[in-house]
Amino acid sequence: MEASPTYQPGSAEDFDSLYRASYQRVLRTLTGIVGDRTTAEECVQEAFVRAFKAWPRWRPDAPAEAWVHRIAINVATSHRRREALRLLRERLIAVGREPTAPAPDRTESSDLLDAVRRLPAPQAAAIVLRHVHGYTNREIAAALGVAESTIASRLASARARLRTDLEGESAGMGTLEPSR
Amino acid sequence: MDVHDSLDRRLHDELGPELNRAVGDAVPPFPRYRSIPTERRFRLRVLGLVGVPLAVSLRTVAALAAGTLAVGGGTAIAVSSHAGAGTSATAQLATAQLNATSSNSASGHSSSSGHPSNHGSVVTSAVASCKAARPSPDASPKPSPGSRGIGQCVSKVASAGQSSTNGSEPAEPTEPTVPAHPTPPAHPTPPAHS
Repeated sequence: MEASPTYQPGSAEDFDSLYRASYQRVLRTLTGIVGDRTTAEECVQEAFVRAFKAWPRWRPDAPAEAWVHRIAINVATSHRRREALRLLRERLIAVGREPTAPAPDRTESSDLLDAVRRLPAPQAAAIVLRHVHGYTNREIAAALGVAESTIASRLASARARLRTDLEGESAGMGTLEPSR
Repeated sequence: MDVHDSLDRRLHDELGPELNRAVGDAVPPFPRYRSIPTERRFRLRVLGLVGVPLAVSLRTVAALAAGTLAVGGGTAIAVSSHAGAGTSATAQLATAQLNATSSNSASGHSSSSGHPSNHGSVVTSAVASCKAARPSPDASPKPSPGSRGIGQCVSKVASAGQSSTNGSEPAEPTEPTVPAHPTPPAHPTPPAHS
């Protein structure tokens, strides 16, 4: 994790700086969790709105970007939960109707990224923070507000799930090597 | 090849570039949080004073109101305060202490003119003055027959008022006019006592 700049809680100028500095990274994290860039951008904006409201109460003892990440991951998790409920409702409504062609994939992506998107949101967040942003377990724990042991457990579960998922997809190829 | 190592390597080598490709060089757009009104701005917006320092504006309005009341003592005060940055707001404080004179002067008529709405009161006051001025029946020499009533006296005033009204403001809509008092018939001449 990069060294955190000094921010003053409640300062609008400092929050603007935080927004400019962390927007790209937060957007990448949420794209890994929710699946497509447009939805991720919506979630990032919502996350910064929530963060801005809570900004006067932010305590400088925690890195500001990790704090924003935590809010953003909560927003993305809520979004995924709502989306799952909406899909379930649509499937229930569609029962008994003529089968329709499946919706086209939202974004062209690799099997690895698709597999990460299929993980539960907290596991996907841990994977992205670790392997994309280079956070340690302790930093991920601080960002998500959970115990470090919980992060180790989430990462182990996520890897096991990804292995199963990717092995199933590449059964014909017999390897986990990139499918480019 | 160790499957575990292979997965970790793929996550490390592929996931970042994949997400970078999906996101691209996203320039941070105009942040949505900027459109949230802050608590203080919200209060000022409720008061219609966005952009004006609250303490200054309220103090200014109060001072202007007090000063105008002290000097003018009875006219309407309107204090407008304009906010900056394209937002304007007006705080109006009005006090009114109206009397017959000011209302008449504001409407452009004198109280003694023949305005239709005043005609009734003019006649009423004429009746009172005519009653006070009529000669006493016990006066010496005795008043001439027919001169004790006030009909003729009031009739003069009423007629003058009507002609003034009709001549000066023909276009203005008039309230239902007070009918002119009919001139009472002259008292019959009492039979002469022999």
